[in-house]
Amino acid sequence: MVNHPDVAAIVERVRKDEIGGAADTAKEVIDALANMVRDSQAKDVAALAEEVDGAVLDILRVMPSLAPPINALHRFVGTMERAQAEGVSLAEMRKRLQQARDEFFAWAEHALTRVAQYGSEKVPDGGRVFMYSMSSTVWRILRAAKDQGKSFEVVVTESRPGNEGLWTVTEMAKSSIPVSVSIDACIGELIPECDVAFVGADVLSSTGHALCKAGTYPSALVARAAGVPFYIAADTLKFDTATLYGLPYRNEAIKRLDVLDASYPENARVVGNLFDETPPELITGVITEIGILHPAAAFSVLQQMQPSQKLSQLLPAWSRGAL
Amino acid sequence: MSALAAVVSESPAVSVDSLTAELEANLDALLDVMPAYAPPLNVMHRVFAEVERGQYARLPLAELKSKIAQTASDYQSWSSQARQELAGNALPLIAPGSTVFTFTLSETVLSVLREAHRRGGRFRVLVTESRPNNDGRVTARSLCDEGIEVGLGIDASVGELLAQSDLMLVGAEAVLSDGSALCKVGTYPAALAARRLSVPVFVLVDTMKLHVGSLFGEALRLDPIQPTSLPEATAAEALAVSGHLFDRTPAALITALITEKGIIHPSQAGTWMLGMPFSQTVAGKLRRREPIRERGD
Repeated sequence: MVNHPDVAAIVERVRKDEIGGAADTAKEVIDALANMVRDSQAKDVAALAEEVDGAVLDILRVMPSLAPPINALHRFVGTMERAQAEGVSLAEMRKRLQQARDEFFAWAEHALTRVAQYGSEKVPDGGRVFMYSMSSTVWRILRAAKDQGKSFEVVVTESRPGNEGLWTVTEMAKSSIPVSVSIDACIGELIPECDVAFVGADVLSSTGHALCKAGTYPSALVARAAGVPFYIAADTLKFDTATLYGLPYRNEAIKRLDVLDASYPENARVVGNLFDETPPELITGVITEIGILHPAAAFSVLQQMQPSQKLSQLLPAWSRGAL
Repeated sequence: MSALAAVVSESPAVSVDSLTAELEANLDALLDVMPAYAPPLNVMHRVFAEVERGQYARLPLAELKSKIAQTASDYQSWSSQARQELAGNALPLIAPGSTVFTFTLSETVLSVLREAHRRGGRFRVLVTESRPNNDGRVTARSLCDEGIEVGLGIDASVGELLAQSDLMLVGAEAVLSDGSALCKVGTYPAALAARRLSVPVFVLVDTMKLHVGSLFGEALRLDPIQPTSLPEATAAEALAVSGHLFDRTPAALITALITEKGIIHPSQAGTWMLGMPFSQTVAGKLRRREPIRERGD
């Protein structure tokens, strides 16, 4: 049960799907937990840990398949677990958790700058870049390329049902990068006319599959058929430890009213999910803060993570939506 | 065809030359509005090939008029028969319990699905919206009204939906001499997904959809996507909109063409076109028009 206003706010926004990018959500989650620890009236470490555990459970219950907030929780809860095992004092525990927050924020900023730097090297000067939907990571790559003095244009499609592709149009216009937009069905015509494609991902699995906005997989197929390099931009926070243990993604069905209005008969069913899976053989490379990797290198990345044991035990029920 | 036939039957022309001039004026008007759709162009080739033969043989006016009237009436009877024969060739593809993926709206595909349902076939249909005009929703509604089980998705979901399908049935605006099919935009990515998933792709077209002019490089007009087709939720004022209403699915991704003549490999399209009526008058007029950029892989 939630008792800190910041935690309650993030839970409510995730539940209503009013969140931005996954990385921002991860930051918000950690920030809310850190503020809760700061303001906590707990008299000992055990009581504080209990509060944190309760808040983590509330956040997890509403959290969709976004690896970054989950991985951020692993870091935060993992820090707490290790400190508890050491038997630290309450003051020391508070200090370490604030530190975990600050380190996470510093890491996130550093990581995205690196991703932008490496990715920008793949933007051809005078070329045309295809981007599907929106991704603040890809936006950073394109801005970094622009800052290097490269001139290029961006092609994006609307990305139904949420039309996040139009956010890309706005962002590119803000950065004075020429952009054109079309409908999702036009990818077969547009991608072959581009030099490179970049997309963001929600999750990278242990086998190198990328869970991205629906329509990414068909785009990757077109890119492969046309010989256009297809990059996924994702810091290592997007690599999902749960997939290593066979847990499914938490995908979401497309809502009926996003596709059909009430005039359609009951037996007209709406099918399909908000995310689709692009297999590693269609991905040229994953641009991460540790470098540009083959997607199947996901296992090595996951091996370096230190997942929280408590959280790992919750994830099977979470992935089934049964928490 | 009936418009051109009416021009001929109602013409006040007193000579073959004036009839020809009158027909050509009508041809110009028709070409001005002609979309990327093979049958009317093939009909024009057919009528004007008849006119050219008549001129060459110095046929009297009355005889030429009756030849053209005959061409028109042959076409009408062919058309209704071809539809039935095509459906007969397509029906065996829909195995009991199968899931059929179709894209956008095709009267040919709809008539086959309705007939399969009428014969007691049990199957499920998956279709996507087909932006920008959402013709796929019309398909979904029409199938629902018939009591056929149907699932509707967004165009971006083609990868996921084809993975659940046993076969893909689509219509086409035109089949070109290289065996590629010009279809509603989005068909090509769907066919790519089908190929990767080993789902067979059948294009349902009668032989009037085989665009005879493509043998000689005659391109079809592809209309661009209009800015008004996109939601208005963008800050950029002068929004550059790219893309066209149709895309080209290469022959390599098409399992077979289902025609009234039977089930044929797309590579046979060009061979079939060699036997189709072709008019130099129509070709000449098309050549003088603005060149159209060929698109596709």
